[in-house]
Amino acid sequence: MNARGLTARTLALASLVLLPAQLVAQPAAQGGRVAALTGVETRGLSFQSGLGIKSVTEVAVPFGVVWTASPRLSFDLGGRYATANRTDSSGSTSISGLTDIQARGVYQLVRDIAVFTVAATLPTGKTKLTAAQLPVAGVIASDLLPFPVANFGSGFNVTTGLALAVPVGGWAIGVAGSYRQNGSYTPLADTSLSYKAGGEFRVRAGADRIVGQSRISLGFTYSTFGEDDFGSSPIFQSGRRYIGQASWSFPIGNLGLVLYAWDLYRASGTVPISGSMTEKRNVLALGGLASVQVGRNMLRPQIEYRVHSIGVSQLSNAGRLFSLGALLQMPLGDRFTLLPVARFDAGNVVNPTSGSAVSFTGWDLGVSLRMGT
Amino acid sequence: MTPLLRGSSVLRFTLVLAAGACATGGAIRVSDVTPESIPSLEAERSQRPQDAGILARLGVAYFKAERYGDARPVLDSAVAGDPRNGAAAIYLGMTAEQLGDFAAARTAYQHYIDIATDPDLTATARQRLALVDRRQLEYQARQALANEATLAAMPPESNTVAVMPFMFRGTNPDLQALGRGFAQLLVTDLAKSRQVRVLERERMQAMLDEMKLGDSAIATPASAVRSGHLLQAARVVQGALGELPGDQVRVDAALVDVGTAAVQPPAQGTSPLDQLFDLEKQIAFAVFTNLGIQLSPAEQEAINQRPTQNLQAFLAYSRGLVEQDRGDYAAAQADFNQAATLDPNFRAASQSAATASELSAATQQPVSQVETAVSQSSTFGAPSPVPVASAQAAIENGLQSVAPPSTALPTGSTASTPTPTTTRNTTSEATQTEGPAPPTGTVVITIKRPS
Repeated sequence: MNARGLTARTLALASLVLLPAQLVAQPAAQGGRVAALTGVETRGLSFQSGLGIKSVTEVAVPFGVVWTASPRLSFDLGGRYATANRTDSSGSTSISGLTDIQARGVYQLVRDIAVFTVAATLPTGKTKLTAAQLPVAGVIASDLLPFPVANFGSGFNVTTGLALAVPVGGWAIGVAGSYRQNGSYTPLADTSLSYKAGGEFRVRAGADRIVGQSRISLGFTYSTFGEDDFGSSPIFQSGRRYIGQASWSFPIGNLGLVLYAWDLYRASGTVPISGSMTEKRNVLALGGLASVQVGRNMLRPQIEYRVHSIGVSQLSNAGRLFSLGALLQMPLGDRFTLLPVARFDAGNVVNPTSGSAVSFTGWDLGVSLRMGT
Repeated sequence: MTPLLRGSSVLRFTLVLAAGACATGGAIRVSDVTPESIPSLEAERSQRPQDAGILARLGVAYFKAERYGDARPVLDSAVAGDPRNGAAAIYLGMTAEQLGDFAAARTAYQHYIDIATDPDLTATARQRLALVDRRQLEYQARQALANEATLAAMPPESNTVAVMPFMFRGTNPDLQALGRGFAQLLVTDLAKSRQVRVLERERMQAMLDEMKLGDSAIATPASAVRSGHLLQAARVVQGALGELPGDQVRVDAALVDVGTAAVQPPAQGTSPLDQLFDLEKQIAFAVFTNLGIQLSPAEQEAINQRPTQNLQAFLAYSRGLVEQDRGDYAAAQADFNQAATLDPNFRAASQSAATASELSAATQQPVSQVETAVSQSSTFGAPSPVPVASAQAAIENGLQSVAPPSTALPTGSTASTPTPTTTRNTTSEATQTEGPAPPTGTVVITIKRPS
């Protein structure tokens, strides 16, 4: 580890240990509201034979603090400590450690009209992976299979963003743009060469409208990237990404329902040296979630179906995921809320070599404790 | 059991759980919202800050925690966001009452009465409304006295007239209350002209009560000038009603100019007691003349109307005014009822009896007791789980995916639907190792130490 990385990590760890306690101890009368969260998240997937992988598990301990300093200014900071384990016929391999920590400041330049954000990712995460650990990192990075921690670390970066709201007719239109500048990090344990991802420019447009008792929400996000360097040489140009989202919220009695869909399309990337193209990818998700008050508690069941497609020239089926679960929001006393969550997954992943679909089942259990106001 | 069958078991369990939750059905009882609800409601508000239902419940929770300062703006927003939310309106009234903002309490209670469907709670709101009217008069009087120096330097409102209670000069205790009744008749008649603004008798009485003047001091022109400044009235009617031998009464009504302290020659009249109402009309017209007001025929006709011709009913009504001014609303109600019984057409008496009844009930019930009753008998109605479209929603929509929060605090809010991971996973992407499937692509990028 170089000196810069050590200093940054030490600072981040110090802030992790000290900051939440200080903030939580701060009385609201001093002008701010503080909320903090921690808990345990567990995730497991078991695969039938045909992929060379038997199971994946992940246990994560999230931590987060949100400090609303004033009606216009708020800060949040968060990360996780996690262990991911991949088991195949040759045994188990794991990655354990802290993830990168993100700290973000949000300032309303013009209240409810213009918001400026600055986010910095502190390089506290585990980035140096052995060749054996790469498949572990890969499986949790899947677009199809959501894991609490999908990425242990990718170095320091800073993102600045500006969001604007404009009423247009009956619509509330939000537009936003951001730029992310990445620092370099050492991705592999057997080399000291550093990897520096290209900068990312991202724009998003969102629109909300009330129609009768329901709300329609639409969103579109576009990202484009600069070239990645490895050891100061250009090595990879990530493909552009497009995300479309739509949701419809409506009440039925005291039940709040949301039907939603989103689609993430990742265009092919290119390798500058050879000019060859990487696979393009697409994930389509359709889902619904509900919220219902049960005494003092709020139950939020959710159902989702995902379709994953991959291909170089044409997209073809790469897997399916069906999820069903529920979150319960349970107030405890004056300042605490307990949030247990349980989810069941079933689906399949297509082995691109054999073309056969390999089934899997999975589960997600967790409990979080939210503190403060 | 196959994984799929195991999955269906979990599915059945979850559906049963969800169905059970739905079966609790309907509206949320106000009594279910407690101070312990505050953290979760604040979390919900942070996700859906415009949701009037959440704001109403949070405001009620703050009220129950006696955090009236926090409850006020939240309930204000709740009522503004959903004017049909009765629970929010009545709790806003109680909150404003606890904070001493009687004007806001009045507005909130009146709003509740306008929209309410529950007859018991409507009656409760009417009682609070009557009481806050009274409290507001007292508060305004105290404020005026606290700012007396400033008010004395300010010019009074030019066309505003106040009427002081008429002093009774006599020995018959049965007639003692006529001074209040006569002042009320005069106020009623003066108010029938649109050319003058007449302050309510209760407003003058509240001021005199705060000034703590004795009867002899009240009768002086100096007191009229002072009370006029405090009430910002340009003219004050000050007078006396005297008992004369032979069941005769004499009335003197002077008009005091508050700005100059000048006292115009009093309007005077004498009549048999049973013709008191005719005498009052005579005095009223004389006061109009002294005010320099030329009455229209319609105004003259309106003023000539008698609220009652029954002297005994009017005496009972006058006694009710005295009891009301003392704060004995039960006794006042009895006197007003007696007046209304003696003359069923005496509408002022029956209206005053209703108000005294409300005040009597309201003064016997502190806000805390009222809140208990309201909490137990009212609901929020079905909560609206749909967030409103707003600039803030649009901002959140815009920020989503562009600069997402550091911590995905799982509030479970329906305001934000699930979103895909938007951040590149550079190592896995560059090494083409994403996902559980083995890499096959036509390209595998090798990032390893050059040989």
